[in-house]
Amino acid sequence: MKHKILILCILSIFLLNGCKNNSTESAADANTTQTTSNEKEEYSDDSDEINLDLTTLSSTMVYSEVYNMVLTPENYLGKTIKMNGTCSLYQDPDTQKLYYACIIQDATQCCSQGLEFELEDSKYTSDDYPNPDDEITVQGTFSTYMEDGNEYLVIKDAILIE
Amino acid sequence: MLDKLIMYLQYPFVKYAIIVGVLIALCSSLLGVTLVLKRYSYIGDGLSHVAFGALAIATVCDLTNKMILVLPLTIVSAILLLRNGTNAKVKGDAQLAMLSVSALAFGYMLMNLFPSSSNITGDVCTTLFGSTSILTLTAQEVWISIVLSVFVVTIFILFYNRIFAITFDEGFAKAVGTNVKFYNLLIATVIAIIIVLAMKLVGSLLISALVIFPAISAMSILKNFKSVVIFSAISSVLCALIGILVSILAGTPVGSTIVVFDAFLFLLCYIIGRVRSLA
Repeated sequence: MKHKILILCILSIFLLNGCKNNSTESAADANTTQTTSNEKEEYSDDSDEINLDLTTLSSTMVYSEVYNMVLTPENYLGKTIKMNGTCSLYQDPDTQKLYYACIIQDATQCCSQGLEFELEDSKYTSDDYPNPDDEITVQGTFSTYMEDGNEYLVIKDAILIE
Repeated sequence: MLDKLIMYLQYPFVKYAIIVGVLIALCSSLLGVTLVLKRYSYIGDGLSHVAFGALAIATVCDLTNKMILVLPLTIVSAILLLRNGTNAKVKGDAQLAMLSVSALAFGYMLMNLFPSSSNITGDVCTTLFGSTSILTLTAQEVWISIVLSVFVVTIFILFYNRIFAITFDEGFAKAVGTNVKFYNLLIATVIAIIIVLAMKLVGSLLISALVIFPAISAMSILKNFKSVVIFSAISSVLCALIGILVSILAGTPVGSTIVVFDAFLFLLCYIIGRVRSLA
């Protein structure tokens, strides 16, 4: 009997955890975000003015970090990011606007994550953009923008590193 | 390399992965011994395919918390499989195979018919092989994993004696008044929870390795049930920990790296066991 009561107690804890309201979750998320931001400061590389150098991480770590950027972009806003990967080009069929992205693969080579980048206007012209499938290293400021009601992520004022 | 490892350990998602990975490895190894001894080794594989199908339905329904659907469906399948398995062995095997492939095919078809993202191949690959799922956990997922793991370990500790009795001689356990049906139901529920949790760590195709390898490794060198369970738990946790650390350092897939270490440990234990039996 004691066993059954204990099981019920444990199940209740689980159910309560599953049924907690959104406000509680938001608060928890806010705390997590704060902790995450603080922890990120610890591994930023201030000497090179790069907050997050993805070129020094293993492919598994890079994929996970970029996944987190896509999931929680607010934690990375304004940070200087350096990453390398494959250049990908997308042209909007309606506006004809070109979008360039730096794509990285995960360890199983079946999943990919990418970040759009925009080269710094004062240093580059449209001819300076790399070709699709080129191996590139870009460095710039992580930012977001709204387009057609959707939020997109971008590395702004990026520079290409040889 | 040590500096790099210390740097990686500062990332919140690496901490989450280690916590959840260790807990999943512990839970799967505890029940693994029972499953292997009851000759249900392959049930993990079948249930993981069911969980894959359930996950596809949850994705199509755009559920925020997919666990709400995946967990109950997997538990129901586990109960049905274990109940039938005790009545008719051959039929149970066939049912397991049928349920397994049907759920896999159904899930894959759903993901193709109603894609939730532009990268269907990636989504399927992540679910089947784990990919980096364990490194992309949210804080909420970590808490759910902790609560479920505590539940599994508590069940195992509380009902250790009865699980032991049912594992070795179900008929005798029934004769001495043990409610075998209830405990089989409990084992089925716990197995389903472990399968759903382990999908994040190694993906649905590799789950069986987490259940089978630690138990078989322990049985190769030890004969006492308690010793086998303890060795199985320790070796499983160590393999998961080493596998996660190696995969983030070397950039290899997390799930398969853990399974490689499990397989290597089994080989080592098997050799030791053979040498001891010859001596």
